[in-house]
Parts: sequence; structure tokens; C-alpha cells
Amino acid sequence: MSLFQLCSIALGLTAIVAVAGCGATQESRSSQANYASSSLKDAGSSGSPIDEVSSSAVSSASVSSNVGSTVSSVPSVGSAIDIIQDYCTSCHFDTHMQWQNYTTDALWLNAQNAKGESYINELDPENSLLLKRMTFYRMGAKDMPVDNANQAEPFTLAHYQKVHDWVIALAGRTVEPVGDNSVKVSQVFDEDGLELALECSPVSAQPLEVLISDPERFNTSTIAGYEGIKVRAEGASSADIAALTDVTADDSFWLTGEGLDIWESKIYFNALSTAVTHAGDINMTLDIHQVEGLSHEFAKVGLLVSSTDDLTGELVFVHWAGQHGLAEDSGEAKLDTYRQIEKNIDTSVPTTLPVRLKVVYENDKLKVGACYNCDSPAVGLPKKFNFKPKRIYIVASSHAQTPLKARLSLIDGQASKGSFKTVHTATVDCTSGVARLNVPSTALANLERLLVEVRRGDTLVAGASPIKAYSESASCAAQGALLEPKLRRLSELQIKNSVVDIFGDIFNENVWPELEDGAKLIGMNSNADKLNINNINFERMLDFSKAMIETLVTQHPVITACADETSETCVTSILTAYGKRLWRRPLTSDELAAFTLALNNINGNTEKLEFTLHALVLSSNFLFRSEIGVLLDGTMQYQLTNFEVVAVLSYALLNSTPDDELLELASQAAAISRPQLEAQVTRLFQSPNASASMMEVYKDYLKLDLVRSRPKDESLGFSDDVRHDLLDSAELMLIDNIEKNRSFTDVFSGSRYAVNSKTASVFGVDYRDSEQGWVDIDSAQRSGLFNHPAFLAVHSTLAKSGIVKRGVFTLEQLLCQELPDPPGDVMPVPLPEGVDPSVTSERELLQLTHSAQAACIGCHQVIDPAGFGFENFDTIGRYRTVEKGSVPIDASGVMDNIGSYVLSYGTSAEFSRELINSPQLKTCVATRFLENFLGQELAPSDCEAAKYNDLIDANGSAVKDLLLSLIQLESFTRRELK
Amino acid sequence: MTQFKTLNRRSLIKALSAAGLLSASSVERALAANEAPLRVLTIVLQHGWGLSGTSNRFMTEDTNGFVFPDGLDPLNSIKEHCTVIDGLLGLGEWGNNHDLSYADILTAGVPFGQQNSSYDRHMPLSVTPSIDYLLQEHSGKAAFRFSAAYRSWGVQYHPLSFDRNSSILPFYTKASDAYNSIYKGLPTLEMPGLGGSDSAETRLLSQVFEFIKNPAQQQYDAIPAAEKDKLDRYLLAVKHLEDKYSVTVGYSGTERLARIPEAGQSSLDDFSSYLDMVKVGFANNLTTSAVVGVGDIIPLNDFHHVHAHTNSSTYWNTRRTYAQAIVKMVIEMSKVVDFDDNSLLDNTLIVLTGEVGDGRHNVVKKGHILIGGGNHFDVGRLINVPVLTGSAKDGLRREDINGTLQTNVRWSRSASDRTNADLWREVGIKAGLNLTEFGLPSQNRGDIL
Repeated sequence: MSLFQLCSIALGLTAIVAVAGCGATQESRSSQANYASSSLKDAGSSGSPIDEVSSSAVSSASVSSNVGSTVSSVPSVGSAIDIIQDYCTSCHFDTHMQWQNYTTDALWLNAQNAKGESYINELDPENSLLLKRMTFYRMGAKDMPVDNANQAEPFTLAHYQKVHDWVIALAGRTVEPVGDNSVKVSQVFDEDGLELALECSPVSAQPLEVLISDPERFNTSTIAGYEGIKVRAEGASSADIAALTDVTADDSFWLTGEGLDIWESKIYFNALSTAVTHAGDINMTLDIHQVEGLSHEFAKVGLLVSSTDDLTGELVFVHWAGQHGLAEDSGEAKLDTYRQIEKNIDTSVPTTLPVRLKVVYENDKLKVGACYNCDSPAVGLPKKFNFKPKRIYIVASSHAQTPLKARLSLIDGQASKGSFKTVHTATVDCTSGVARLNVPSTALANLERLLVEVRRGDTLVAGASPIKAYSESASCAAQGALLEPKLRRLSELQIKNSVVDIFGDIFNENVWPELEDGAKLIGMNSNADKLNINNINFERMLDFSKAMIETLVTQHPVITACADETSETCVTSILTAYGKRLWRRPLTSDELAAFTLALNNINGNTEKLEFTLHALVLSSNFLFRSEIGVLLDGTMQYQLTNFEVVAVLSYALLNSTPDDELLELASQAAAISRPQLEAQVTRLFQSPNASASMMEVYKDYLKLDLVRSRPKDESLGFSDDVRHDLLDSAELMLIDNIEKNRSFTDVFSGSRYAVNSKTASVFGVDYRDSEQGWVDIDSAQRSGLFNHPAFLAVHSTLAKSGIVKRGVFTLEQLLCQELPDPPGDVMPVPLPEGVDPSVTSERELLQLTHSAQAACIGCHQVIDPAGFGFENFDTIGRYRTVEKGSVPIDASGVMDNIGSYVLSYGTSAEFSRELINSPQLKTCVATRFLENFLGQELAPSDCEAAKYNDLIDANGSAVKDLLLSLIQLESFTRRELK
Repeated sequence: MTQFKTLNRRSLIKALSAAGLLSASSVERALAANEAPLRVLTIVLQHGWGLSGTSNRFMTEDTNGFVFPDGLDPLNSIKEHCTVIDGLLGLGEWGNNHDLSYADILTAGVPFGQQNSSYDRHMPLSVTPSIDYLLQEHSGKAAFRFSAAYRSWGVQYHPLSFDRNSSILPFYTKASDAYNSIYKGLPTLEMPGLGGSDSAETRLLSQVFEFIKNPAQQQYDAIPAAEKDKLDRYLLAVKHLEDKYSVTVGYSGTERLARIPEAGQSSLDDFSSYLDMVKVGFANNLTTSAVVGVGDIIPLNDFHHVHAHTNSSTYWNTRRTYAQAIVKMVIEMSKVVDFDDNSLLDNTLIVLTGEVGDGRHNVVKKGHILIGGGNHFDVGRLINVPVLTGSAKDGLRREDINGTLQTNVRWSRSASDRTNADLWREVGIKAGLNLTEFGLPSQNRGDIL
């Protein structure tokens, strides 16, 4: 989105006012809005529309710094930055406290650009995290109560509007070139690169020079124009700049520092000096790369600013000191006030280098800062003074008889405007009246924003500030958004399924390993970074291996027979055949040779078999599925091997090791084609194991296994048997729905529940058979998996329904919404006088004692409606219309802040159906499945997740389509290191 | 120090030798160990032990120094063995620091700005090793790491212990599992390895462990750096079993477990079993360091809010229960005579700690309770560490992930001038480690003990 578009949005929101941040009056913007756009791409192309900036359109568009827009209709609420600093202390989301450091627009911009923060989304400012959070807190709808004790006034819509306008303006803030109206520039900047179209009128024979720059980086400034100066006890004197400095090839320069002291009134140094122009504004950065000849701990190198043309006024000196860190000295005609900025941890050695010093003067405030080896020092008011600088000095003082030399480079943000870091130049012939220039993305240093200047000779004739906008067809590879190569440890179930599929179902239930993996409540447990082999898990694997081998050597026909033989040949055959299945690829000749060598030192076939099977099963080649692939030359991308691809498919579809057909397919020389993969999906999906495998993903999504362990009040009689049978019931319902080939979200639906005599009372039905049987339950009372007691008992507390628990789970896990962490010291509010909890609903009590608190209301306005919808069910999932004997249940609610689809419901059954029908759930379920298939955490907005959802929308929404869409993703066969 | 009962281990060893129950070499080995190491047991309680503040009860002072408040009152009976540190800093910057600071408790090594990890979105990890790991390295004996329901956010155990690769070291989460892994199969007297180093099974498994390292190493060499950590852990686990199956000495058998933990026993029983295993492990030189995490032992409706944030009788009753179990172990330790004829308690430092982070939580009064260790430093003291307020507090910094010292760490209005790094550095030195600093350099601010 261009500056032009951004400001249009801003104007749309504040139609009656000027948007100062957009650098133009409303009238001038209107004229821009009427300017016709054209497209470089063919009709029907999915490419971005051309952002058009003519020289006339930008002629007055030089954007200045603004701290909040000028919004005349808004009451005085202070600057946007002040508002953020004052009010956002309890917003407590991830990058929360960082913004305390951002006291200027520049720091905000830098944080977003250079540090990768995302408070302000420059490409889509309305979606900026900052604004989303405020909207999340119901800003935009109504005022909000006082949020914490430090606030003197509530956060109001006026505050919100102020910050909103500032964000919009800041996001679009670029330095615009000016032009002479003779050349019109249109551009497409996407994953393929930059396409420029130039229209020249009048036509000139003189070629155009196109300069493409990085608007976030200035070129290093030269010291041309600076004066040399020496200040000693006898006074200041001019010095030959050539004698003081030595400019290097990389635009840095050596400055010779002299002077016996630089403290109090003894301010002795060598310097380069210049008067401050630009109405006093400064944006000066000095990098100190090296210091040679250091002989005194208080030698100093830095930037000194003065309120006068000499050193008789107010002075502020930010500097690197020989052995005493980074600091600021200040005073009036002397330097007698000290403030440490960064200490030197070990003062027995020179202060760390390189360092960056900064002096800024903007918005009538002088600010200084310094940091070690960093991009952008935090700047703040000097300790003593705030003045408008008239002169600035680049200072070096040796504090000794002998000089020092400091290698420095200077970035003068004022002088360098228009001198941004060049990334590409080209000469274009526009003698025909039109010209085109294509610059491939590889030549643009992966930049997201560019500054384009078109010059004819020395005259700037046009310019543009394109922001990269990926086309809809842009691949995730092109966007640098492929998933990463991973090693994935097999889950307990995958170990069991694999071993049973390889050796047969001959094992006792107690042989399988129980690994210490934990059970994550949010996300999927198959995350590749979560499953590990540690000491304990390896002990369990050894126990398993022993038990497995004991079974195999006594019960497996092939292995038992071999154990009884005297010839060793059968051991090798077993190694080769079962090794291929266990390691999901043939063993290499080197690996076979290593086995042979080791087996030669073991006597007896039984022992040889024990060694072989232990070594195969305890090997990392069995325990870890490799989704690493082979590094492609010249890239950071990895192409998965055929054997890795079939393993991904097999574990996704069957939760087990690839069968012989898949391994045979993998052995072909050519990469497995998509039709071949589709054929395998179709074949494998017919396996009865496929439904069970899909069911496991649903179970993990809903966290149903936790029903076995969730603590419940003893008075409820929620026995292990009941828990077991409820889980069994949920599994039956899931499998039944999967096998009915319902859509993958309709798998959650239905009012036929599997019930037996132990669970009948929980379901509220009369059923006396000890075996599970299907019972139709009134769908007005209980509907689908979200109303299944197994689900409800997991997501509740010891004895209560747990409105908050259920609400948080619904939002975070079922709908993939991001919630902030809860605030720190939240204490329950005492019940208002006169409220009797024994006759007050839990819903009302929650609101009276918790949600209504200022620190809580923002989140709980979202969380609570997502939990109210389960209130027709108690802690173990029994249906109810009253609680506490006679207090009516209110299970109604509206969820209107999780996207465009509004969930409105009157009962828990309605809520369940609303959830199932919601697009948010569909997107989230698909994303969770993809997380499970590929073992990596994803948000629905991530490239591959978005592509996956698009494929599902295009291909169909049956459970099988989850697999057919999976195999079409780039990351199914290719990964990329971040 | 007060001795409840003494039993001279040296005499016992000689007696056992005379009776032919210990080999001559074992006797020499045991008698040679005339300098008993300082063992370190850390008991980490969810949120912390608390001594004052909004969710806490205040300590009072008596003529002898201090009195533990109701709820921690069992500790008054062993007060002369206790050293109380009033307030330490931990991980800063974040308001809801309880969840974030787990990894910092034993490491002081979580960089500024880290708020999550691939392990869990609420739990950043440490870049420096934990004190128990350093002690393990020093002694060559694996630390005991147990969790009695010290968990949240769905993770099985909180990330407390780290090696030098920032890998989380695993905890046993069931006492029966810990027993099976550590104690089961140990003979009553000195044992020559699990089943004996000469057993056919041990020989075979040793060959297996040796063999499987090669393919893992080949795989290791071929994968991206980001994934190597998984195979690092795998290879460490292989070595762990390899070592376990090559053990030839260790368990002297002079102290026995009070009872064998049962599968499925309560978390509270697990806690008692863990303490028992630690005591026996220390007494018999199976290990020199241990960590026990204690959490949601008693099922509550909402542990985090109702239990940990509320100054309720339930909250304090749980602490009393934990404290009683600890006091029982302390008394038993005081009866065991160590290699150097001091009591085992005097050679064991028990540190009661918890989430020491601050953020908006005032840490000035977030206390640590030290028990035992009387042979290594003065005990029976209340130590008030220096407190910084106002601009002095601004001098508190912390390294970010790039090692750059960051300002504006969100300490409370006042903040302690000593940190958990200071405590562990001193403890480590007293336990024989050669440390000049511990954890992140910036967190080393001065001595405490």
C-alpha cells in the first residue's frame, strides 16, 4: 500500500480534518485520489495494481515528522506517544514494555523496520497490532474505564482516535522526492521485483537516471563542509581539516584527538564542527569503530552540541570514554554534570567498541543516546538541558600529551535526506515517450520498501515510494515463508503403530513406552520442537526395546526361527528387511557393513538378533523422522527426499511408518509426482487405520485425552471407568463422523452419542447396556462434540463449569485467536454487599468479582462470551438448566469481536452449532491439522496455512481433502531455513 | 550444631569391613573421603515461599532474629538451621513474571526481552547452565531432578535445569519412575553396576550404546544447526544410559529408603518420597545435587488465581504441609553422620526458592529460606540484602540475547541489589565450584552469605 492509499484511508476516517502526517491538505489529497491509475500487468492478472505517483502528485508531499495528527474535533488528549506511554502499561502483550523506550517517531519507525516489531504494520496500518489491541479492548466502540491506579483519566475514544491517526500517518511516512511534472511513474513491486513504467512528457533525448534506494538507511555522510577546530587552554583555533582527518575508502575517517582534559571548564579537544541548519533540527549519528593510541581512561570521543556558536552556552556532550563506558556530560560553558548511559563492565580495559552515538533535536526537544554495537540507541532528554542547538562538534580528546586516533563514520539524517542507501541504478531511454524498467527481486536486497528517484541530469523529475505487495499467486517460497526442515521424534502412538505394522499385533499393551512429553493445552502435541529424547525418555525407550525384543524372539515366527538357527544369514536378512521399515529407508552399504562388523563380535543368533533390534529401534534413525532433505545449491532451501516425502504422507495419513508400496514408490529415481501422491492418498485413505489416525488429530485438537486425568471433586463420582468410557464414546463419535465422509468441520456435529450404562447418567439418558450403543439425544440440549461430556469435563474446573477456562480454550485452541497473558497481581474483588453467592449464577459472580475489574474487563469482554456458551453443562458435562438448586442458567451470548462472522447463540447446543458453522473454526481446524501434519506451529495468517486454507476452499472440505490439499503445498516437499 | 542423634559412619564402615561386608578397596575409598562435599538440594515451590507482601504473611522478629509466620511455622522448630534471605532479584521486565521466570530460578540466565521459546510460548529458556548442572559436572554424579506437580500451561514440568547447550534437563514426574530408574535393583550393599558389569545383558547393551552413536553422529553432521540440539540431547541420553550401565561403585547402602514409592500415589506422597530419595542419595554419595519442584499437589479449582494469588487458609495450609515434610527430612538428615563426622545436614544446603521474578511484583520481600549447611557458613541468620530505590535502581541492567546490556528493566519501585546469581555463585563456590560469576554477568552484584 502506498503513502497515497494510506492517507486516503486516514482521510476517510477523519474526513473533516487535515491529516498532518500525510503531509498535504485535504484538497491536495483529493486531487491525488482523482489521479488515474494504470496497470503494468495484463488484464486478469492477479498482480498488484500499479501505485501511481506523478511528479505533480508528490510535489507538495514531503512528509514531516508528526507526533499525532492534528485532529481539530478531538479534545486535547496529548500526543499519541504520550497516550501510549501513559495508558498502555496494562495492555501486557508480548512486546509490551519495549515501547517505553520509543519516545520519538523515529524510534517507533526504527523499531518496526529495523527490529522487526509489529506494533505498526506499515503495509496494512489498520491491522497494526497497536490498533488491534485497542480494538480488542473495545476501543472504537465506547470509552473504557480507568485502567489502572496511575491513570488520572479514563482511556476514551478521543485517545483511541489520536493514536489511530498517528499510526496511519506514521506507517505511511516516507520521505518523498519532488519532481518537475515531466515524468509520470507507475510501479508494481512484488515478489518478482520492481516494474517501473515511465511516461515522459515532453519527450527529451536526454536519458533518465533511475536511482533505487533503501529508505530506511542513509548513506554515510561526508565531512565535506565541516571546519577543523582545536580547543585548548589558550582558546579555540581553526585547524586544517586535512591535518586532523584521514578519510578512508569506505567513507569512514580517522580523527586525531588531542587535549589534556575534557571536564568542567577544561574542555580541550580536536573537532570537526558545523553550524546546525534545518531550523535547528538534528538527526546525527556517529559510529566509533576503532580507537588507537588510547593512553588515558578518560579520553573521550563523541558528539558535542552547543546552544551558541561557540562553547560559551549550554553544552551537551555524548561520548565514548576510554575505560568508563558511554556517558553524557553537560553544563553551561563547561562540562560538570555527568550521566552514565552504559557502563563499561570491566573498567580495567578499554570501553567496548564499536559504539553508536546519537543526537536528535526535533519537536523542540534535544535528545541524546548511545549504545554498544547496535542499530539505534534509545535517546532521551539530557540530564540538565533542553536547548535548540546552534553548533555541533565531532570531538576527540586524548586526555594526554599523546594524541589518539579514532576511526569514525557519520550519518547526518538531515543532511542526508535524499541520500539513502542506493541498491540499484539504471539508465532509461524515454525518447519514445514511454519506458519500462524491470529490476528483479534479487537486485533489491530483499527490501520491503523502496525509494525511487528519477533524474534527468541533475534534475529530479519524478519519484515513488513503493512498498512490496506480494501477489495472490506468490508462492511461499518466493515470500521466504516455507516451513523449516525438521527432525521429528515419533510420538508414543507412532512408535506403537509403526512397530505393530512392521512386526504384527503380537505385543502386550504394557510394552509400549510412556514418554515424558507433557500435554500442551494450546496447539498440537506433534510439534517437532516439543518432542525430544532426553534421559528419561531414553530409559523408557530402552525398557520398551527390551520388552519388544522379548516378544519378538519368542513369538514372531521369522525372528524366532532365526534365533533357533545356527546360520547367521537370517540375521542379515532380518536386518535388511526390518531395518528398511524401521528406518523408513534402505540401510546404506556403510550402515550394513557397520552392523556386520559389530555382529561379528557377538556370539549366537539370539544375541545377534537382540543387538540388531536394539540398535535399530534405539537408533536416532528410527526415533526421529527426518524432514531435512538435501540443500539446494545457492539457496537456503532443502528438497525432501522421496523417502522423507512418503514418511510425511504415511504419518500424516496413518500415523505409522510407510508401507512397502510407499517405500517402493520412494525408491524411484525421479521425484514423486503429484498424481502419484494423490493416488497414494486415495489408496491409504481406504485403510481403516486412516479414520483412526484422523481421529487422533481431532482428539489432540480437542485435548480429549486429558479427560483421564483432570482432577474432579470426589463427590461427583467421576470414576476412572466413567472417564475411560466417555473417552471411548467420543472416539466412536469422531470415527463414525469421519467415516460418514462429512466435511472436516461437520465431524464435530451430530446428536447421536455412544452411551453405556456407566456414562448414561452423565448424558442424562436411561441406558442400561454395559456396551456402548448409539443414543439420539435432543439436539436442543446437546449437539456435537463440543457438547460431549468428555470435552466438557476436560475444559472445566474441579467442581465448576469453568467459564473462563472454556472461554480461553475456545478462543485460543478452537478458533486460533491470540490472547494476551493475564495481568500479574489480580485479586478477586469482594462481592458487592447484598449479593448472596448461593443464589447468584456463576456467570453473574464472575462478572461481579473478576471480569468487571478495570485490568480484566478488556480481555474478559472477549473471553466470557466464549465460555458462557457451555453453561448448560456442569463440570463433568451433565446437562442443566439451573445451578445451585434453582438459579437459572443463562447460556446465551454474542461473540462479535473475533472476525466478521458474529456468533450469536441462546443455548449451549446453539453455540456448538454456531462454532461448527463459523468460518473462524474452519480456518483454525485446517491450520491445526496442518500443524499436526508438518509438526510446526502455525497461525492461520502464515503463508502455508493461508495457502492450505485456500486449497481446501478450492478442493473441497471433506476430511480426505485435508490430505489432498496437504500434498499440494510447497512445504510438503521443500523446506527453507529461516 | 545441634545433633538429634549421631551415628558414626566411619565406625560403621570399619565394622562392615571387619564383618567382610565391604571390600577392602571400598573401605579405602570411603575412608579416603574425609572431606565431605556440600550437597545442595533446591526445593522450588510454585510462585515461591513468600514471607510478606500482598499474597503473603509477614515474618516477625524476636530476640533471636526472626519467626516464621503461620503456615511456615513448622520451620520454627529448626530455626537454628535456617538462614533467611530477604529478597532477591530475578528475571525482570515482565508484569506476569511467574510464568516467565522458571528458567531463571536456578540459572539467572534468561536474557532480557526473552518471553517465550519453542518449549512453550510462556517460557523463555536460559542461555547459561543451572547450578545443579554445574554441581553435577563437578561431582561427576547425575543430579536428582524431581517434580511433584510443578507444572503449568500443559508442560509436564517447568524448565528449571539446563546444561551448557541451553537444553532443558528432564525431571522425573512420578516418584515411582524415579525410584525405578535410580534405586531399583541396587543391592543392599555396595553394588557392581546394574546387574553387574560382567552380565551378558550389560555387555550387549554397552555394545548397542556404542554402536548407535555412530549413525546419530552422521545424522548430526548432515542436519541444519537449528536441529542439532535434538541429537545433542539424544546423544547425551545415550551417554546417560551408557554411564548407568557401566557403574561400578556408588551405593554404599548405609542409608535406606523409608519406603518404596508406589505407582499412582498422590503428588504429596511423591513429594515425601522425593525428599527421602534425596536424603538417601546424599548420604550414600549417589549424588551431590538435587532439585525438587513442588506445585499443584492439592487439587484446587484454580491453582493460579485461587491458590497462589490469594492469602487464604488453603494457601497457607499447603505450605505448612510442604514445610512439615521438609522439617521431617531435615531432622533425619541431622541424625546421619557424614564422611567428616559432621551431620549430613551440616554438609547439605537446602534452598527453598520459587519464582523470583518481579515485573510488577515487589521482590524486596521475596525471600529465600536456606536450611542446613552449618559446616560451611554461619546459619541461623536473617540477611537483609541492600535495596535500591529511585534513580539508584536504574543502575540495574540485564543482558539481552545479543549480550547488550539493556536499561529500563521493569523492576519494581524498589528492588533488591542482590540476585539469584549472587546466591548461586556463593553456593557453588562453597560446594567446590571454581566460579567468579554465575549466570548473566550483569546479575552478579555482590555477596550475600
